Order: sequence, then C-alpha cells, then structure tokens
Amino acid sequence: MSGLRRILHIFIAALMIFGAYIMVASNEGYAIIVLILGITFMVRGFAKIFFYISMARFSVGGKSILISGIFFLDIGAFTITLSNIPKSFIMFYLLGVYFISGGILLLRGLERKKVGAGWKFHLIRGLINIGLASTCFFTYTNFPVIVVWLFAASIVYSAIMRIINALRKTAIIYVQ
Amino acid sequence: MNKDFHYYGTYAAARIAGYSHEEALNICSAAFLVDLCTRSLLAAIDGPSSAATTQTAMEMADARTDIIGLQDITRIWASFHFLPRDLYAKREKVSKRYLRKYRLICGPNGDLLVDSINLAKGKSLEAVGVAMHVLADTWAHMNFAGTPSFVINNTNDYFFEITEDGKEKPISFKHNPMSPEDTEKASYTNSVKTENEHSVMNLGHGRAGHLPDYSFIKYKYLPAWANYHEVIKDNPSDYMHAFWQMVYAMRYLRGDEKTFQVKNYAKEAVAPYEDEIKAIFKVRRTDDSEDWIKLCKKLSGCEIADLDIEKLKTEYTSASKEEKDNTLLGRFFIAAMAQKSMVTNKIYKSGNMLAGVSYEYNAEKGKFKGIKDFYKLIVNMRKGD
Repeated sequence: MSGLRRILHIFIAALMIFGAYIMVASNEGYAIIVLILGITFMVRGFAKIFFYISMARFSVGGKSILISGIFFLDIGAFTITLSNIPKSFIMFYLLGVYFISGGILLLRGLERKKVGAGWKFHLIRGLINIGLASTCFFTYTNFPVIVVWLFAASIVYSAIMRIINALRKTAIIYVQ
Repeated sequence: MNKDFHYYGTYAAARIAGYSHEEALNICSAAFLVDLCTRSLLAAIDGPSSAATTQTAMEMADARTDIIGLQDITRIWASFHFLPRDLYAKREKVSKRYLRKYRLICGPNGDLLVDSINLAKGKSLEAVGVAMHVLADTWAHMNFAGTPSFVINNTNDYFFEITEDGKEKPISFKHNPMSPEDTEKASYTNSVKTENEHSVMNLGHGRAGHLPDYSFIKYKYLPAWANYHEVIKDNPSDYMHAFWQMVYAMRYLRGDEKTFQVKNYAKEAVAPYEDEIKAIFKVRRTDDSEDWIKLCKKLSGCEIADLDIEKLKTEYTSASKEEKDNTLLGRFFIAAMAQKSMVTNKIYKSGNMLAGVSYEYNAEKGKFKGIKDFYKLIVNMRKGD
C-alpha cells in the first residue's frame, strides 16, 4: 500500500468513528442508519453502472451487472425517501450480517482445530457475533436502541481494522 | 490439476528425466505440497505464514477483499496455480484497470515460466517440485486468472463436452460442493455466479468447476474475456504437453539440457511410455492415482509411498531452530517464498499493483524492508555465498 493510500484509509477510519459517535449520541440513530444504508445502496448502484461501462460491457454475464446497478440505485433512492422505515428492516439486515460472519468464523475455527492450529480465537469471535445477533433479536422490542449501538459498534470495528491494515507491512522483498 | 498428476505424474516425469527414486520422491512431495500448504497448516507448525501456497475454501470465505486482501490472494494464486502468460499483453479499447487483470491470465510457455524454471536451477529438489507444480498448472488452468475478477473468470451455461467422435454433449453444473461429480451424465459442481468483481467466487477456474483438473475431458465454453468467442480446452492434449515439458524442464535443471526454452518438449524421452500415459489421461474418472502408481512402480521398481504430511510436520516441529530450514518442509517454505517473491516482483515491475508492492534487495546497502518472513531469503542467499 502506498503512503498516500495509508493516509486516506486512516482518514476514512476516523470519519467512520466520528459517524458512529454521531449515530449513538443523537436521537435520530435509526434515521442515520437508514440514510447510510440508502446512500450505500445508491453508491453501489452507481459503482456497478460505472463498472459495467468501463469493464464489463463485453464480458460474458456483464449485462446482469448493469441491471443490478439500476436495481441498487432504485432501492437506494427508495430507502432514502422513506420517512418511517420499520426498525425490523434494519434489525434483520444486521442479524443477517452477524449470523453469516459468525457462522463462517466458527467453521474457520473448526477447520483450524482439525489441522492443529490455534482455533479458540476464531471460535470465540464467531460465538460473540452469533451472541450479539441473538441478543439483538430477543431484546430489540424492549430496547430498540440496542440496534443502533450494534450498528455503531460494527462501524467502529471496521474502522479499527482499516487502521490496522493501513499500518501493516505488506511489501515483499525480492532477492535476485 | 489434482494429486494424481502433481504427485504421481511428477514422480514419473522426474524418473524419466533421470532423477533417482529418492530425489523424485522429494520433488513430487514438494509439487503436491503446493496444494496443501495453507495458512492453517503453517500456523499449526509455527511456520512462516508468507510461505502459504494455497487457501482452503474457509480461508477464502474469511479473507478480506479490500486492497490488501486482494493482493494477498493474487500473490498466492498467481504465483503457484495461475502463472500469468504475458504481463505485457495488449488489448485495444479497454481501460487500464481491465488491462491489469487481463494481463494476469494464465497460460503455458510464457516468460514467467522461464523465470520460474530458472529460479529453481541450482536450488533444492523442493524448489524443482514447486517449479513443476507451477509448470503443470499453466497447462491445466490456462485462460483463467489467479485474481478474483468477474470480467476475466466468469462463464455462463454455455459448456459442451466434445467427445472423441466429435459430438457435443451439454455439461450441466450444480453448486453443492458435497454432491459428487457425475462424469457419465456430464454433471459437475461449480461456484455460484456473483457479480461482485472481487468475490472469491470469481477466483481462478471456480466458475468452470473442476473441469480444468480432469485429464479426460475436451470441452468448449465462453470465457468472460473472450468477447463471446468460443474457446476449446483439450485436456488430454494439454496434460500430455505438460508432462513432456516437465521432463524437458527437469532435464535442464539436472544439467542435461543447456537452456530452458518455451515450446520445447522431451517427446523422445517420454516416447517409450507415451501410450500408457495417454491411456491414463483418457480414462473417464476424476482420480487417476491407481494407474499412475502402476506406471511409477514400473518405472522405478519401487513402491511409491503416499505423502505423509504428519511425518513431515513432526520432522519440522521437532527440528531445532537452526535445523528447521534443512528439513523437507523448511526447504519447501524457502522455495515457495522465493517463487512468490519473484512473481510479485515481475508483476509489480510491469506496472501492475494487483500483487502488491515489491522491493529489490540491495546487498550493498543491506537494508531489509517489508514482510519479515521473507528475511529467510536473504539468510538463504548469504548461506549460498
């Protein structure tokens, strides 16, 4: 990774942490999440359409990228215009992400255990993800703010991983 | 390619090239280890993580697909399983971003293959084994790239097997990796279609399933990069060429040939066994190990022991810190890191960042930069001096 890219990643991570703080500190946590999701979908839609034009126009299966780009653009615009999105929509989205990532981590842990490598770290992380998702599912009716906290925590976690990766040594030396 | 070719096929080629039984065993062990050396295995024996030559499905599912994750994936797969044919390939009316991926398409007889073979010259038998794996896969995995890319590696339902009498039989794919392949009904497993350019589903030949690894099949399909033009993949012919070229390469590495040049094949040396080998390739099954074992026994008169990975791991873990690099696994790790370092450097110098940054070591200044696992290469170089 070049120096400039490292700085850019750290800057983006800082913005993400700031955004997570705003989400938690304000009373409009859910609205912010909906806005983030809507913008994410729209950006993804634009990115897919641009990708189709610059890369996939002549590729086998490329047209489906154009179609899904238009779809995401529409979904994103629709999401942003919604004034009162059901909170369960956001909760199910988060549940899906945490259950799937938790499941993959558990399977990774079991795979590493089979070959005799350290496996507890992956297992614990997987169980934490699934535990968080379950907590969210069973408690959000009484404590709706828990979804906002979980969403913000996942953004902070991503930001921290981004900083760690930005600071890692990644170059390979070549010895002739 | 699978174990049958990488282990037993490489052994047979090494014996024909003139290596002894014990030497051939080391070579074929290293050739097959390229398909086994995952980060999980390395973590289990406290080996250098950067020596990873493959990834399990779970490791790939868990891998990050940000720029660092993609570079790591590309380094592994492009260095060992999808060696690029032409890092300076030209294609008109495409973006630079597309061209970078297009230039990673694997194929035989490229400049990088010459570099890989020369890298193993004068080095350990394990380095020869790594080079043979890389060489063999340039034939099997041609037309796919060792980087996640929808626009290069995607395919669609247009797959037809071309039988010996010239008829075309449609091939169908399913996505359940647990269900067995049915070679009679031409029903195979492939990865799920996903439009995400950087998804691991679009890595290598996942979209064509294991078809490139089956020696019996000749088929046609539409690769994503080919503008809807058909490409015919003749595995029996390609595998035979791979075998001929492996024998030629190993004769060069032994010193029996002056240079290694592309499009040269040791057909005369292989001629006494050619019919038997072609018969092995033509049998309609997913594992030819049984027939290869018979041929190997015929070549050497010895039993060919199966690779005992636990024994190799024990040898490595019980060796002292100074002796680890002298074990089979230790020598394999050094060979793997050297191959990865060389390929990354070549890709980087061609102006392509998909495999990440590479620094050339300056022995006079003696300054080391980058991932510390690769310091072993400098230590090894100094030992050689």
